Amino acid sequence: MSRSITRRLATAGICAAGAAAMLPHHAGADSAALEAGASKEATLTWYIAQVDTDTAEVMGRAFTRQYPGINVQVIRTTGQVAYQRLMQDLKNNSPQCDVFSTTDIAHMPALMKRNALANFTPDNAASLGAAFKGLGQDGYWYPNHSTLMLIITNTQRVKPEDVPKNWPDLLDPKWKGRVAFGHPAFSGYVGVWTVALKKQYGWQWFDTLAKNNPRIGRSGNDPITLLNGGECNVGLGPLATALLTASKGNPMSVVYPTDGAVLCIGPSGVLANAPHPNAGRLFMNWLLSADCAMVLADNFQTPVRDDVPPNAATKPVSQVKLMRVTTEEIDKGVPQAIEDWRDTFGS
Amino acid sequence: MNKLILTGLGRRFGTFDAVRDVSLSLAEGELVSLLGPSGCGKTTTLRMIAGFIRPTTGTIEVNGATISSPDYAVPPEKRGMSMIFQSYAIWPNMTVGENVAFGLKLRKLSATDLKRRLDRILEVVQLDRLKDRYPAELSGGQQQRVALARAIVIEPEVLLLDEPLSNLDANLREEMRSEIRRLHDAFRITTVYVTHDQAEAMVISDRIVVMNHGRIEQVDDPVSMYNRPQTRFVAGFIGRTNFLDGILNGGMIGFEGFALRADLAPQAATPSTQASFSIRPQTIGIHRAPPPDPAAGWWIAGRIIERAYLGENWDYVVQPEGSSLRLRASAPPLDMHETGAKVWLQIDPDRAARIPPP
Amino acid sequence: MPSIAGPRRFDPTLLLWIAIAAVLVFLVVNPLARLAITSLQTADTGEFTLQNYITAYARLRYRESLWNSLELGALVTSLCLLISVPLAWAVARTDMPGKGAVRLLVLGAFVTPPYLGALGWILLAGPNAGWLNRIWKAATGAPQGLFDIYTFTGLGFVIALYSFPYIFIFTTSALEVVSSEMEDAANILGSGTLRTMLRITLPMVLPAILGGAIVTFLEAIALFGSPALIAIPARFNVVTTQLLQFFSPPIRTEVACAYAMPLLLITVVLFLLQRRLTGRRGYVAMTGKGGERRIIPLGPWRWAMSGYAVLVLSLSVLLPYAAMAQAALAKAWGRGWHLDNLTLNNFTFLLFRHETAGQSVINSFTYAATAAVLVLILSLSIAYIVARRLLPGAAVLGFLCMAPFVVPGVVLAVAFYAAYAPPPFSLYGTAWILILAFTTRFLPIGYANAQAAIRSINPELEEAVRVLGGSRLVAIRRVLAPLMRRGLIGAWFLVFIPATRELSTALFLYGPHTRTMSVMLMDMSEEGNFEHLSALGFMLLVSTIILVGLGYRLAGRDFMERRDRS
Repeated sequence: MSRSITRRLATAGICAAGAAAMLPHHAGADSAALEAGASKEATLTWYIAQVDTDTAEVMGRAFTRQYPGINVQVIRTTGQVAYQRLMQDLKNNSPQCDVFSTTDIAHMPALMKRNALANFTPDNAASLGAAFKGLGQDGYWYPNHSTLMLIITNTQRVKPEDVPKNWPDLLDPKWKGRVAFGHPAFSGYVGVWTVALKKQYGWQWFDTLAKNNPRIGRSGNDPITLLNGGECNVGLGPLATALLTASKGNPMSVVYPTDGAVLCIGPSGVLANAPHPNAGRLFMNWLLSADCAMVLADNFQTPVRDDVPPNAATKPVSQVKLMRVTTEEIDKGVPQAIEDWRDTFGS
Repeated sequence: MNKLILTGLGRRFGTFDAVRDVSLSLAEGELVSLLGPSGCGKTTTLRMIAGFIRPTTGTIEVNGATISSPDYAVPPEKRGMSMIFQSYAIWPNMTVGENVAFGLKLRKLSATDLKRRLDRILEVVQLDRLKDRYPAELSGGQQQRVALARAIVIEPEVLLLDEPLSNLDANLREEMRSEIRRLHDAFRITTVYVTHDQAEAMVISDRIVVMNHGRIEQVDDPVSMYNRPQTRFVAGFIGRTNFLDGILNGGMIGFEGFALRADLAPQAATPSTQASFSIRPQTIGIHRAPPPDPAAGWWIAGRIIERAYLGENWDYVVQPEGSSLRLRASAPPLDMHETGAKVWLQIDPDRAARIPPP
Repeated sequence: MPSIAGPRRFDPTLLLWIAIAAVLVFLVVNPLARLAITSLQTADTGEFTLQNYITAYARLRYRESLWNSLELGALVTSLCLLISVPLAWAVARTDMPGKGAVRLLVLGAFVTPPYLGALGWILLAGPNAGWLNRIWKAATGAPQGLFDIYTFTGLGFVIALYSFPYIFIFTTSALEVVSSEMEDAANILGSGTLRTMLRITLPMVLPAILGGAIVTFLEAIALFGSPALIAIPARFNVVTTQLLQFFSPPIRTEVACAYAMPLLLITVVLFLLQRRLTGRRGYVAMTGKGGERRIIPLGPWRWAMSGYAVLVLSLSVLLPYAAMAQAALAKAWGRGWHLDNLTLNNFTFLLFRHETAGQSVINSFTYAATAAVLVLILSLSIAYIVARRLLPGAAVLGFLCMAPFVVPGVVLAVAFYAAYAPPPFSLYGTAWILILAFTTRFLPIGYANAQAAIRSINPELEEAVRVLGGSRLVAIRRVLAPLMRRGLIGAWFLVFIPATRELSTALFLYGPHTRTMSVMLMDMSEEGNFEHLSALGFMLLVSTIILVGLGYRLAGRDFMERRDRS
């Protein structure tokens, strides 16, 4: 890299730092000023991987309804693509993204290391549900989304007495060739689930699974497609998508495993070099609001606040037996889990 | 005044000399043919005149102004010439009228002028009723006329024709030959005409330039070109001929198996002990009876070894006695000789052309 | 009488040509050079290193992926040849019934994004629940299905079903200009129809077939969507899916670049091969001059031929779309065919209520159309420069036009992002970065066509303009362009159609307002939203066919017929 470019980058960094210094670190510090600044900016760009396109757009519109004149540009893609894109933005020093919402909690420490996240504490962070407090890095990033990875079944093909009750039930030879999974290298949530299962049962659980010839898709939602099509009977799936599909009339139901569903956290943070720093902060705060939680609950997503009741079709997180893994375990465990997975399953 | 002057013109492609040292002048209104076998450089020369190819040596001048040299070339569209291509290059997306009017439109003529000149030329080439047809709806001859009309209507400085008749069948070709000459006589446009067909060149041209291996062999009017070829190549390329190569020996020229009097022979440009001649078949007489004095002229005794009846004449091949040479001679239809018959051939030395030895 | 202009030492059109060449450098050389340079740099310091190549090829798994891609390309190309050549011959030269329908269905296959076709085939030939397997099991009582799409051959088969139109189109258009006299000459020597086709007709169009085969091969190894859907569940990787792994954390762009480099070599080899194969023999028959083209009567065999066409096109279009129709018309596709499960809501929702579906359709068509125009302008100009030898080293420009084909869309997207997202260009998030990337990606198709179109026109037609006083530009505008109109419209569609279905490039380059239909489809498949996905697939199929139909109508046929005989 030439010296002049280095200097330009450095200057840009200083400018960004200077601009950020004038911004509130705390929404409550001057929320009126934040709103005024956001109105002036009139728009913000949101990289979002946590929910499907339709839901993401509903969320964007709900924010605009609350803060008229501030438009949310929704860029919905998978977690790894969103992160790759963000890395490119940072590398090229061409900031695009204001708020980054991913499914891979490991992205956040990596961004912290690059000083890429803005120091900002949303007012609503205080209202996070008990299960979600302290999961993020206070002052930088917070969990705003969560989903339960649990067992899904095709109700037409699985007799009630055959419905698996826990994860080891999926190893039963009667599911040979009929059990579906996503891929940890493509789906952040499947990655977390892999780490959790490995922690609970050791890798031999997966070695046994390999003998059952599981059908492996890419995204965490692929098993839902495989079950709907009748290709598989049981599998691993995210609660929200499974219920959304079932709500359309598809023969799908979910099982809360007795040994624990895996709670996956989707974190969000404001970028340090956000082109719309005020709107970004305002939106970050809104992502943790009750309004947002209600939008999510309407779409079968698990709210991260205790004051918003979950969708009637779902159990409150507090009543679900959970298999927990720490952020650190995820950060360290996922790359290894992907390697193990490739060795065991071949792709 | 000379309209078009080529001076020392040459073109090299890589290591191959397509055209070498071509110098030629055309008078205003003259029609000159470039004649030669394929690959002789005639088309390259024509395309240099048109401006599609830049020469590597020499210059081209029109009206005294240099338009091509190795340093620069006026682009084709600024030369005020026109050209007729081997493929006619009639634009299939335009009607006959649009094709012919194209050059006039580029010259920004007034509408009335344009129409007048268009109608006149279409009448001249007898296409007036086909004005709105598309080229694909025309016969080959009609397409050729469109090409002619399109080229002539702009009254070019120089008209270039690149083997324009080679795609036509024999009858049509003869008709178009006369048509081109007729149009030339009517418009007197300075014309360069490229062909490999010697008969075409003979009929059409004021002068013929025979080219071979990129060089000019000879420049002459058709009659001289035929009767006084200066090189072996020209003699062989234009019409049929017999080559006789001999050695001067005292007062005689010795050939294989016979000798002829040297004093009767046309003089060579450069004295040499060798003497070669081109003798046209129709300048050779065939006689049954021996001449009273074989030494008075050029007489050769021989035997008919082949004959062919061509309707308009007989074509005989005669082998001189004691020789392996084969001489072709033509004779009128009534002049019949059997194969194997002994005959005397009479050659008119004045009609024999002295050519350089091989 | 026009006067002869005075000396002018500079041809201003040269400037235009230089400008066009500069554009090519912008679109192809710079991104590719960036790719090559990046492959030789260490990630952080930018120092020269060969380590990336070692990393990319030291692991057996990575080498296997490369080998899988090559095998896949070969399989797909062979299958496409088997499918296309007989079909092309039957459509172009014989009295096979239903030729119009066959052409329409081939078009249907061509406009179908390969990943959409792959999804249709998952519904058809999933080993447990695929419709074909269910029918087989019901009919025979067999416990196991007959087909398994989740295999290497399954993937090759599915890709071939949507790649064969390249060879079909190249071959039919070449067959349409081969004179019947060539075949008559063989017939009169005692050669039958089949023998004549194999020994005379096909060898004459060999350059076209080979051209199509090369495009197919390169397309097959650069494809991302179908392998993502099928290879991963089938537990193997190909180059493109492997490349994506280099982009998941830890991101190793440098290694990815190194990993993509051998593909460039493969193309070079392929083009040299093609030149060798077609260079020696004469293909003068292709002048299109003289000799009419007659239809070959097949007798009873025409029904057999028709049957073959129906079979191929059922596999490619009818069956997958039938399978998708179920989902598109279902309230919940998992419930199968039930009267009370039928609805048109998926269509009305997408058309009238979906936030971005309508916009994404418009985006796809606008970008593809603009890119196709740019490709045409560029590839024509360059093919022209090459054909008329207007600039020294023009052949290099021709090669550069063909080079982007080897670059998988993912890699091209990354190269483009790196080259043009940051200032001074700052194209990220704009439609232009997509349009320019599409332009680069489909330049080879346009160039191959433009080259053929320009070669088919006698340069004398143009020289006739110039000698009469028209400049080169007048000649291009008044003669060359009108004469190539049909060829150009055809070439435009050959770029437009794949551009509307292009996925891998778009996936990396789309921004807030520039999402394309292909990205939308892929997202829906990831979200398990099959009802909307299938409905959108149908809308894509129908709208593209309507557009193409309109295009052909605009081109006009009377014009063609006149030109054919000239």
